[in-house]
Amino acid sequence: MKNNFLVTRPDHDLTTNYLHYFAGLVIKTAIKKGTTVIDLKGKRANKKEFVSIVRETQPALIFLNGHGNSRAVGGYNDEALVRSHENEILLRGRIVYALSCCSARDLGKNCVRTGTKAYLGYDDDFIFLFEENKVTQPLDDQTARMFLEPSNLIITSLLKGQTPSTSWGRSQEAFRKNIRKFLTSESPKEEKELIPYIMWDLNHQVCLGDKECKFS
Amino acid sequence: MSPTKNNISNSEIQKLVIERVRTLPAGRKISIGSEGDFSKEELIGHIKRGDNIGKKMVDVQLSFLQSLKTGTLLNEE
Repeated sequence: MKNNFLVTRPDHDLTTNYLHYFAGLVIKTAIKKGTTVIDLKGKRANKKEFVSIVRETQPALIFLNGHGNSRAVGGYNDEALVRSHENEILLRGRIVYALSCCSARDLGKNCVRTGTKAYLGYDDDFIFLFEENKVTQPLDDQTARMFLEPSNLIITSLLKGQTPSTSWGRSQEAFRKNIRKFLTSESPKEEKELIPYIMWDLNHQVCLGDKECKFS
Repeated sequence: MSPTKNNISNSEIQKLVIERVRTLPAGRKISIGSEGDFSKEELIGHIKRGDNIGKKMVDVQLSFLQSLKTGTLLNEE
Protein backbone atom coordinates (compact mmCIF):
# COMPACT_ATOMS: atom_id res chain seq x y z
CA MET A 1 0.00 0.00 0.00
CA LYS A 2 1.36 3.42 -0.94
CA ASN A 3 0.46 6.85 0.37
CA ASN A 4 -1.27 7.67 -2.88
CA PHE A 5 -4.65 9.37 -2.97
CA LEU A 6 -7.05 8.37 -5.74
CA VAL A 7 -10.05 10.50 -6.67
CA THR A 8 -12.81 9.62 -9.13
CA ARG A 9 -14.94 12.56 -10.21
CA PRO A 10 -17.15 12.18 -13.28
CA ASP A 11 -18.95 15.23 -14.58
CA HIS A 12 -21.60 13.91 -16.96
CA ASP A 13 -24.62 15.60 -15.38
CA LEU A 14 -25.47 18.46 -13.08
CA THR A 15 -25.09 16.55 -9.82
CA THR A 16 -21.77 14.93 -10.73
CA ASN A 17 -20.54 18.28 -12.06
CA TYR A 18 -21.07 19.82 -8.61
CA LEU A 19 -19.27 16.92 -6.93
CA HIS A 20 -16.50 17.22 -9.53
CA TYR A 21 -15.84 20.88 -8.71
CA PHE A 22 -15.97 20.47 -4.94
CA ALA A 23 -13.67 17.42 -5.14
CA GLY A 24 -11.27 19.73 -6.98
CA LEU A 25 -10.93 21.76 -3.76
CA VAL A 26 -9.97 18.58 -1.89
CA ILE A 27 -7.35 17.79 -4.53
CA LYS A 28 -5.82 21.26 -4.05
CA THR A 29 -5.55 20.60 -0.31
CA ALA A 30 -3.92 17.22 -0.96
CA ILE A 31 -1.39 18.66 -3.40
CA LYS A 32 -0.53 21.46 -0.95
CA LYS A 33 0.15 18.81 1.65
CA GLY A 34 2.51 17.03 -0.75
CA THR A 35 0.31 13.97 -1.26
CA THR A 36 0.52 12.17 -4.59
CA VAL A 37 -2.90 12.55 -6.19
CA ILE A 38 -4.27 10.36 -8.97
CA ASP A 39 -7.20 12.25 -10.45
CA LEU A 40 -9.62 10.21 -12.56
CA LYS A 41 -11.81 13.05 -13.72
CA GLY A 42 -14.55 13.24 -16.34
CA LYS A 43 -14.41 10.37 -18.83
CA ARG A 44 -11.34 8.93 -17.10
CA ALA A 45 -13.61 7.87 -14.27
CA ASN A 46 -14.42 4.60 -16.04
CA LYS A 47 -14.14 1.05 -14.74
CA LYS A 48 -11.25 -0.06 -16.94
CA GLU A 49 -9.07 2.86 -15.93
CA PHE A 50 -10.14 2.70 -12.28
CA VAL A 51 -9.27 -0.99 -11.91
CA SER A 52 -5.97 -0.57 -13.69
CA ILE A 53 -4.95 2.52 -11.67
CA VAL A 54 -5.88 0.96 -8.33
CA ARG A 55 -3.76 -2.12 -9.12
CA GLU A 56 -0.87 -0.07 -10.43
CA THR A 57 -0.70 2.74 -7.85
CA GLN A 58 -2.03 0.94 -4.74
CA PRO A 59 -3.66 4.05 -3.22
CA ALA A 60 -4.16 3.95 0.55
CA LEU A 61 -6.98 6.49 0.36
CA ILE A 62 -9.76 6.58 -2.24
CA PHE A 63 -12.38 9.29 -2.71
CA LEU A 64 -15.28 8.19 -4.92
CA ASN A 65 -17.66 10.82 -6.29
CA GLY A 66 -20.61 9.75 -8.39
CA HIS A 67 -24.06 8.29 -8.51
CA GLY A 68 -24.59 5.13 -6.57
CA ASN A 69 -26.99 2.72 -5.06
CA SER A 70 -26.80 0.26 -2.20
CA ARG A 71 -24.64 -2.14 -4.22
CA ALA A 72 -22.41 0.05 -6.40
CA VAL A 73 -20.68 3.37 -6.92
CA GLY A 74 -20.60 4.75 -10.43
CA GLY A 75 -18.21 6.73 -12.54
CA TYR A 76 -18.65 8.47 -15.88
CA ASN A 77 -22.13 7.88 -17.32
CA ASP A 78 -22.89 5.88 -14.17
CA GLU A 79 -20.72 2.90 -15.17
CA ALA A 80 -20.21 0.94 -11.94
CA LEU A 81 -16.61 1.28 -10.76
CA VAL A 82 -17.05 -0.89 -7.69
CA ARG A 83 -19.89 -3.33 -7.25
CA SER A 84 -20.78 -5.51 -4.32
CA HIS A 85 -19.93 -9.22 -4.79
CA GLU A 86 -18.06 -8.36 -7.98
CA ASN A 87 -14.88 -6.37 -7.40
CA GLU A 88 -14.98 -4.86 -3.89
CA ILE A 89 -11.78 -6.81 -3.21
CA LEU A 90 -10.04 -3.95 -5.08
CA LEU A 91 -10.59 -1.78 -2.01
CA ARG A 92 -8.98 -4.23 0.42
CA GLY A 93 -6.58 -2.56 2.86
CA ARG A 94 -7.66 0.96 1.86
CA ILE A 95 -9.64 3.79 3.42
CA VAL A 96 -12.57 4.81 1.22
CA TYR A 97 -14.91 7.78 1.26
CA ALA A 98 -17.84 7.54 -1.16
CA LEU A 99 -19.80 10.71 -1.81
CA SER A 100 -22.52 8.72 -3.43
CA CYS A 101 -26.08 7.69 -2.61
CA CYS A 102 -26.81 4.62 -0.49
CA SER A 103 -23.51 2.77 -1.09
CA ALA A 104 -22.69 2.33 2.61
CA ARG A 105 -25.82 0.23 3.00
CA ASP A 106 -24.58 -2.90 1.24
CA LEU A 107 -21.38 -2.21 -0.70
CA GLY A 108 -19.70 -0.49 2.26
CA LYS A 109 -20.53 -3.34 4.60
CA ASN A 110 -19.29 -5.90 2.08
CA CYS A 111 -16.10 -3.94 1.51
CA VAL A 112 -15.33 -3.94 5.23
CA ARG A 113 -16.14 -7.65 5.40
CA THR A 114 -13.64 -8.32 2.60
CA GLY A 115 -10.84 -6.22 4.03
CA THR A 116 -11.40 -2.52 3.30
CA LYS A 117 -9.91 -0.75 6.33
CA ALA A 118 -12.67 1.83 6.64
CA TYR A 119 -15.61 2.80 4.45
CA LEU A 120 -17.27 6.15 4.96
CA GLY A 121 -20.34 7.14 3.00
CA TYR A 122 -24.11 7.38 3.04
CA ASP A 123 -26.68 4.70 3.76
CA ASP A 124 -29.42 6.61 1.92
CA ASP A 125 -29.62 9.29 -0.78
CA PHE A 126 -27.20 12.20 -0.50
CA ILE A 127 -29.36 15.26 -1.08
CA PHE A 128 -28.25 18.82 -1.74
CA LEU A 129 -29.84 22.06 -2.84
CA PHE A 130 -28.28 24.38 -5.36
CA GLU A 131 -28.91 27.77 -6.92
CA GLU A 132 -30.25 27.62 -10.45
CA ASN A 133 -28.23 30.65 -11.52
CA LYS A 134 -24.96 29.15 -10.27
CA VAL A 135 -24.89 25.85 -12.12
CA THR A 136 -22.11 27.03 -14.40
CA GLN A 137 -20.03 28.17 -11.39
CA PRO A 138 -20.66 25.53 -8.73
CA LEU A 139 -17.95 26.85 -6.42
CA ASP A 140 -19.81 30.18 -6.17
CA ASP A 141 -22.97 28.41 -5.08
CA GLN A 142 -23.33 29.23 -1.39
CA THR A 143 -26.35 26.93 -1.05
CA ALA A 144 -24.60 23.82 -2.41
CA ARG A 145 -21.60 24.73 -0.26
CA MET A 146 -23.73 24.21 2.88
CA PHE A 147 -23.92 20.52 1.96
CA LEU A 148 -20.74 19.73 0.07
CA GLU A 149 -18.22 21.42 2.34
CA PRO A 150 -19.23 19.52 5.49
CA SER A 151 -19.39 16.32 3.48
CA ASN A 152 -15.90 16.74 2.01
CA LEU A 153 -14.46 17.63 5.41
CA ILE A 154 -14.25 13.86 5.93
CA ILE A 155 -11.68 13.47 3.21
CA THR A 156 -9.62 16.59 3.99
CA SER A 157 -9.49 15.44 7.58
CA LEU A 158 -8.35 11.93 6.55
CA LEU A 159 -5.69 13.54 4.34
CA LYS A 160 -4.40 15.39 7.38
CA GLY A 161 -3.82 12.07 9.13
CA GLN A 162 -6.97 12.03 11.26
CA THR A 163 -8.72 8.73 11.96
CA PRO A 164 -12.02 7.84 10.24
CA SER A 165 -13.76 8.33 13.57
CA THR A 166 -12.40 11.86 14.03
CA SER A 167 -12.94 12.75 10.37
CA TRP A 168 -16.54 11.58 10.49
CA GLY A 169 -17.06 13.51 13.73
CA ARG A 170 -15.67 16.71 12.19
CA SER A 171 -17.93 16.36 9.19
CA GLN A 172 -20.94 15.75 11.43
CA GLU A 173 -20.08 18.83 13.46
CA ALA A 174 -19.76 20.93 10.30
CA PHE A 175 -23.24 19.84 9.20
CA ARG A 176 -24.55 20.76 12.67
CA LYS A 177 -22.83 24.15 12.49
CA ASN A 178 -24.71 24.90 9.25
CA ILE A 179 -27.99 23.83 10.83
CA ARG A 180 -27.31 26.09 13.84
CA LYS A 181 -26.57 28.97 11.47
CA PHE A 182 -30.04 28.62 9.96
CA LEU A 183 -31.69 28.24 13.37
CA THR A 184 -30.66 31.72 14.45
CA SER A 185 -33.21 34.50 14.26
CA GLU A 186 -31.00 36.47 11.83
CA SER A 187 -31.38 33.78 9.22
CA PRO A 188 -34.16 34.52 6.66
CA LYS A 189 -37.23 32.34 7.23
CA GLU A 190 -37.05 30.71 3.82
CA GLU A 191 -33.39 29.73 4.35
CA LYS A 192 -34.48 27.75 7.40
CA GLU A 193 -36.23 25.41 4.99
CA LEU A 194 -32.82 24.01 4.05
CA ILE A 195 -32.48 22.46 7.52
CA PRO A 196 -34.41 19.22 6.85
CA TYR A 197 -32.12 18.41 3.92
CA ILE A 198 -28.87 19.13 5.78
CA MET A 199 -30.20 17.08 8.67
CA TRP A 200 -30.94 14.21 6.28
CA ASP A 201 -27.32 14.06 5.10
CA LEU A 202 -26.05 14.40 8.67
CA ASN A 203 -28.18 11.45 9.79
CA HIS A 204 -27.31 9.19 6.88
CA GLN A 205 -23.54 9.65 6.85
CA VAL A 206 -21.84 6.58 8.30
CA CYS A 207 -18.39 5.32 9.20
CA LEU A 208 -17.78 1.57 8.87
CA GLY A 209 -14.76 -0.59 9.64
CA ASP A 210 -11.63 0.33 11.58
CA LYS A 211 -12.44 3.73 13.04
CA GLU A 212 -8.92 4.33 14.35
CA CYS A 213 -6.75 3.59 11.28
CA LYS A 214 -4.90 6.40 9.52
CA PHE A 215 -3.74 7.56 6.10
CA SER A 216 -0.35 9.12 6.53
CA MET B 1 -56.79 7.39 2.94
CA SER B 2 -56.68 5.64 6.28
CA PRO B 3 -55.64 7.51 9.41
CA THR B 4 -52.24 6.69 10.93
CA LYS B 5 -51.87 5.69 14.56
CA ASN B 6 -51.46 9.38 15.40
CA ASN B 7 -54.76 10.14 13.68
CA ILE B 8 -53.12 11.99 10.83
CA SER B 9 -54.19 10.65 7.48
CA ASN B 10 -51.78 10.08 4.61
CA SER B 11 -53.46 12.83 2.63
CA GLU B 12 -52.91 15.24 5.53
CA ILE B 13 -49.24 14.28 5.64
CA GLN B 14 -49.04 14.81 1.90
CA LYS B 15 -50.59 18.29 2.25
CA LEU B 16 -48.22 19.16 5.09
CA VAL B 17 -45.14 18.10 3.09
CA ILE B 18 -46.35 20.01 0.03
CA GLU B 19 -46.75 23.16 2.12
CA ARG B 20 -43.24 22.73 3.51
CA VAL B 21 -41.77 22.22 0.04
CA ARG B 22 -43.61 25.34 -1.19
CA THR B 23 -41.64 27.43 1.32
CA LEU B 24 -38.27 26.48 -0.17
CA PRO B 25 -36.28 29.55 -1.20
CA ALA B 26 -36.89 30.76 -4.76
CA GLY B 27 -34.34 29.90 -7.44
CA ARG B 28 -33.19 26.69 -5.75
CA LYS B 29 -33.44 23.12 -6.93
CA ILE B 30 -32.86 19.84 -5.15
CA SER B 31 -30.46 17.16 -6.31
CA ILE B 32 -31.49 13.68 -5.21
CA GLY B 33 -28.64 11.51 -6.40
CA SER B 34 -29.23 9.59 -9.59
CA GLU B 35 -32.94 10.44 -9.47
CA GLY B 36 -32.03 13.86 -10.85
CA ASP B 37 -32.66 17.46 -9.84
CA PHE B 38 -36.05 18.95 -9.18
CA SER B 39 -37.74 22.32 -8.83
CA LYS B 40 -40.33 23.00 -6.15
CA GLU B 41 -43.14 22.54 -8.65
CA GLU B 42 -41.73 19.24 -9.89
CA LEU B 43 -41.35 17.97 -6.32
CA ILE B 44 -44.92 18.88 -5.51
CA GLY B 45 -46.04 16.86 -8.55
CA HIS B 46 -44.05 13.86 -7.32
CA ILE B 47 -45.51 14.18 -3.82
CA LYS B 48 -49.04 14.31 -5.23
CA ARG B 49 -48.37 11.19 -7.33
CA GLY B 50 -46.86 9.40 -4.36
CA ASP B 51 -43.94 8.04 -6.40
CA ASN B 52 -40.41 7.33 -5.13
CA ILE B 53 -39.30 10.96 -5.27
CA GLY B 54 -42.48 12.06 -3.51
CA LYS B 55 -42.00 9.41 -0.83
CA LYS B 56 -38.42 10.56 -0.34
CA MET B 57 -39.60 14.12 0.29
CA VAL B 58 -42.13 12.80 2.81
CA ASP B 59 -39.33 10.84 4.54
CA VAL B 60 -37.07 13.91 4.68
CA GLN B 61 -39.76 16.18 6.09
CA LEU B 62 -41.20 13.67 8.55
CA SER B 63 -37.79 12.75 9.89
CA PHE B 64 -37.14 16.49 10.42
CA LEU B 65 -40.46 17.02 12.20
CA GLN B 66 -39.88 13.91 14.29
CA SER B 67 -36.46 15.21 15.35
CA LEU B 68 -38.08 18.49 16.47
CA LYS B 69 -40.55 16.50 18.51
CA THR B 70 -37.90 14.31 20.14
CA GLY B 71 -35.34 17.09 20.53
CA THR B 72 -32.78 15.26 18.38
CA LEU B 73 -32.50 17.80 15.60
CA LEU B 74 -28.72 18.03 15.79
CA ASN B 75 -28.23 14.29 16.28
CA GLU B 76 -25.76 14.89 19.09
CA GLU B 77 -24.65 11.89 21.10
